[in-house]
Amino acid sequence: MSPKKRRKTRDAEFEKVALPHMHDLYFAALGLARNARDAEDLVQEAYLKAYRNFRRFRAGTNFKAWIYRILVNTSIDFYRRRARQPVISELTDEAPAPAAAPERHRLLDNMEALDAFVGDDVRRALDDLPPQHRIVVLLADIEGFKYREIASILRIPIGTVMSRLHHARRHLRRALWDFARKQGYAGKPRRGRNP
Amino acid sequence: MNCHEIRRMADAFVDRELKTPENGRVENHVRQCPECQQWVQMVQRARDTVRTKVEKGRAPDRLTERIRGAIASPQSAPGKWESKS
Repeated sequence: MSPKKRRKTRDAEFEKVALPHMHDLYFAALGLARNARDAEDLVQEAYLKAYRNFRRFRAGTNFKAWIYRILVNTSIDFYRRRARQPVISELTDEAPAPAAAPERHRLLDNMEALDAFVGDDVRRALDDLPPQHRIVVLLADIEGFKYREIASILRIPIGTVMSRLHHARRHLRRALWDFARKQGYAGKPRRGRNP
Repeated sequence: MNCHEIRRMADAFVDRELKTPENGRVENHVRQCPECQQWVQMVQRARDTVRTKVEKGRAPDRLTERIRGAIASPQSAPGKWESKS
């Protein structure tokens, strides 16, 4: 087979395996970059890296987890290179745990408030999370990765995945609860106090 | 296991990510403790809200072409894996 034909075959093979993940990767990139232009650049760059390293990918293993890891690494490099503010540069560092506050008498007693949320509300609450928290929720709950896969994507121990997800969801519940109150989905604010 | 520990593990519990012995301990506790039971339900409902309500949407159509273009460019240098074959 000529080198040209061989490359064509490999390109087709790569496209077949990789391109079906593009929409998911773009969504994840939006969560990392928080603007559409950067998200597109990130995905394109991640694909290019994946293509260059495709021979390192072992057939039969989890391609999706592999390309997500490339996307996360790409995003870290991307912002480091641009010397921009630390949107995600500490993705793999520990996020500050939200201040301890009792959740009792809030969401716990108003769980039906969750039914009132629409996708955009949840998305907004997700966008407001610190990047280290946002990425684990995104990987676990939107992409459906198992903890061991998240550990591999972020290169952190599985125990860290567990504790980070715990803090992240707690943070998110608090944000959802605050939003639910503001929107009137739950527990109307008391008149004359903290409008 | 006390209630504080159970709540710390509630996320992994609802995700079915705990190892069998830990899972059993949480299950036993939750069966006997109405407060933790309610807590676990809340964790699960909030998680499911995220899982079911967020729609991913689609990437712009042009992105496929951008990716194909980047891969096809001479700089994409697939030589490394071509040389392996």
